[in-house]
Amino acid sequence: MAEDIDLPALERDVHRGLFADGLLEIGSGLVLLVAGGFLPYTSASTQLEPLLIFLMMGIVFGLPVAKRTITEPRIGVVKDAPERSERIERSEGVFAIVVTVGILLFGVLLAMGAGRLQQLEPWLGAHWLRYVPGALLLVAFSLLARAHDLARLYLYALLWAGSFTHVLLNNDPIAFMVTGAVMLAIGQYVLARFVRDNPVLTDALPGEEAVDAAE
Amino acid sequence: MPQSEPDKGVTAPIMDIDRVIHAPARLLILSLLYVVESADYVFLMRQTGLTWGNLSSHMTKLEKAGYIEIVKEFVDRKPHTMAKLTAQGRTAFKEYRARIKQVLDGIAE
Repeated sequence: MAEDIDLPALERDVHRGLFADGLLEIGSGLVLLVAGGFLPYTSASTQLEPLLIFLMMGIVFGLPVAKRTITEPRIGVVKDAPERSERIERSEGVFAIVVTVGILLFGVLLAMGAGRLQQLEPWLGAHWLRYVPGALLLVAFSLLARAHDLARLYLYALLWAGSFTHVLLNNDPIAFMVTGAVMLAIGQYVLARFVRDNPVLTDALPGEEAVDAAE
Repeated sequence: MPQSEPDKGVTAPIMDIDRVIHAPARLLILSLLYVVESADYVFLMRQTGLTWGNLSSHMTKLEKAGYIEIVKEFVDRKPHTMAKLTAQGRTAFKEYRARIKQVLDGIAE
């Protein structure tokens, strides 16, 4: 009996279940769509940049709120085992650093491609550098995928890396828009299914009779 | 002719199985709490498929046995009840796994 319960698999399933709400896909899709929407204006005035930052922060801080209001009432609250938490914390630290470097380099290369920051050309003008932000994002998201045991994050890592590289090589936001729209659509579908399959349990709490607890 | 006494050495491992853990619902609850730090009642209801009343009753038994600890905490200024396995519960669960394996391995066809 008990030896049939695969505890590591149970732990993985429990952890993966926390991402069954589609919010990860919705957040990623929105970030790419917003970034893609602002790209045509990078060579113009910088007055739109605060709005871009405001929207990005709204997405980043809105996700935990959505998690609390949509996900937790439906599947409950669970804290990961200490080993998992430590692994995630380590990965998220590296993720934050690598993504920050990647996004900064992406921004600088994009600005240079739009005719700004030309004084950096001697240092950052090499063509191969345009592949670096994508590669950094691929590494960062893969680290996160490994820490969370989420295979689909590897696919998103590829999509992000591919779209960032395409944008830098072609100076065209279409890759962001397409990838963002696809991820947003997937996320909305997954969220709708999650909400349908997991109604809020508060109506069933508490008050029901215990009938078979005397086993 | 007097009937011979059953050999207690043969049945002892079965009789020694921890009955608090042995109930399927409680075994499932303990398995879940074994692989996480802590979880709330909604999570356990969702994972086990038990009703609130049944879950509550099983949790009370496990708490009385000292296997789990109920922790009241505040999340967003609202009271929230989380359950976690105690050290005693973790040990008991490990012993139960070893015991049940020993029993099943020992049953000859």
